[in-house]
Amino acid sequence: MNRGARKNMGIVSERTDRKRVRRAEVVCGSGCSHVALTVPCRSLARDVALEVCSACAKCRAMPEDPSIEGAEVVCRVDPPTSSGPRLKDLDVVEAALRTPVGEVVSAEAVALERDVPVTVATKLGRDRGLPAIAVIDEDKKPTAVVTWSELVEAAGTNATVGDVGRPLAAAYAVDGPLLHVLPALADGTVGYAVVVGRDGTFYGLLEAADVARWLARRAGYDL
Amino acid sequence: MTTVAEIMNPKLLYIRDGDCLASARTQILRFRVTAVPVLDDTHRPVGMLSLRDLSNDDEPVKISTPAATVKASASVEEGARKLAESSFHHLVVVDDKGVAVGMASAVDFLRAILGLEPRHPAAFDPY
Repeated sequence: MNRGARKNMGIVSERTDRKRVRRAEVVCGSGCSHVALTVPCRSLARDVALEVCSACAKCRAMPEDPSIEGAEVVCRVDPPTSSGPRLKDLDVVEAALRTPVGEVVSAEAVALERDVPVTVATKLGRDRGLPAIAVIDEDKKPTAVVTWSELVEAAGTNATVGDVGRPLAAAYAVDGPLLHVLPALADGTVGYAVVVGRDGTFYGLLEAADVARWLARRAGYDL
Repeated sequence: MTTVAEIMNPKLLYIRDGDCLASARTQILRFRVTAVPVLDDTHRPVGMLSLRDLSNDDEPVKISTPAATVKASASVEEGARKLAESSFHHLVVVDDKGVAVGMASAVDFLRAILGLEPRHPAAFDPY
């Protein structure tokens, strides 16, 4: 059962799906922080607020504390309309073509406004164990990424993440196929890909490790 | 079955347990890697040192222990699982005696499962 479920309507004989609660945090230069908790909704093909998810007729369980890491919701899944192949039976390329990026990207997203000092970003990245952090503009659209190389090289200076971030080379749609992101990750130049929502706002960083996790699950490992 | 030995980078950039950790920072930045294993006198991994570990100027540098390892003979899928379960983005590859023989990154696993050839830096200078 999902962690910390507070309601379960007890309906059996139906297919259910677990969805990880997404935690998106934006940190501003003055130190303020705004956190949004959402759930990726397959029916609506977008992320929805927890209140919307909870009010949905398909909702079967909500987490007691949605802010804890690993919190999940449980919802009813409509039966498949066709008897197509299951993802795990497909070869990896076909499976990656059918899997949206949003299903693989980490459930925790942290973004920094460009005037956040490097010292703040370094502490945040260390405390959260982040491999890289996106820098966003006033419209919440990603403009750059700071990695540990930039943060360590700029240590002891008054630089901001806007000063040291690597300009964004490409961004990938959250509802686009995972297959489109794989060449960039497999290239190895950077270990992440920036993912954006339909409106171009920052959604998350997809890491090669996220894809490794997806691959391991497909191979049958319970992660 | 593709094994980790076939996809790893056999050129191992490492530091020895007891080396000056602060000086490792220069090397890590120079070679544009994000972490290096820390090996003991018998070449067995005892931890990892990452740029993240080196980023805290307020405290003495500490290595992350234990190192995340995988056997060279393990399958790529098993290695991907170990990587996914760890908090690292690299695994130290060890032989049957636990001696470090290479490094495998998330990108290495990704390339392997996509059927791409391994791709690594040509060489590390002596360190």
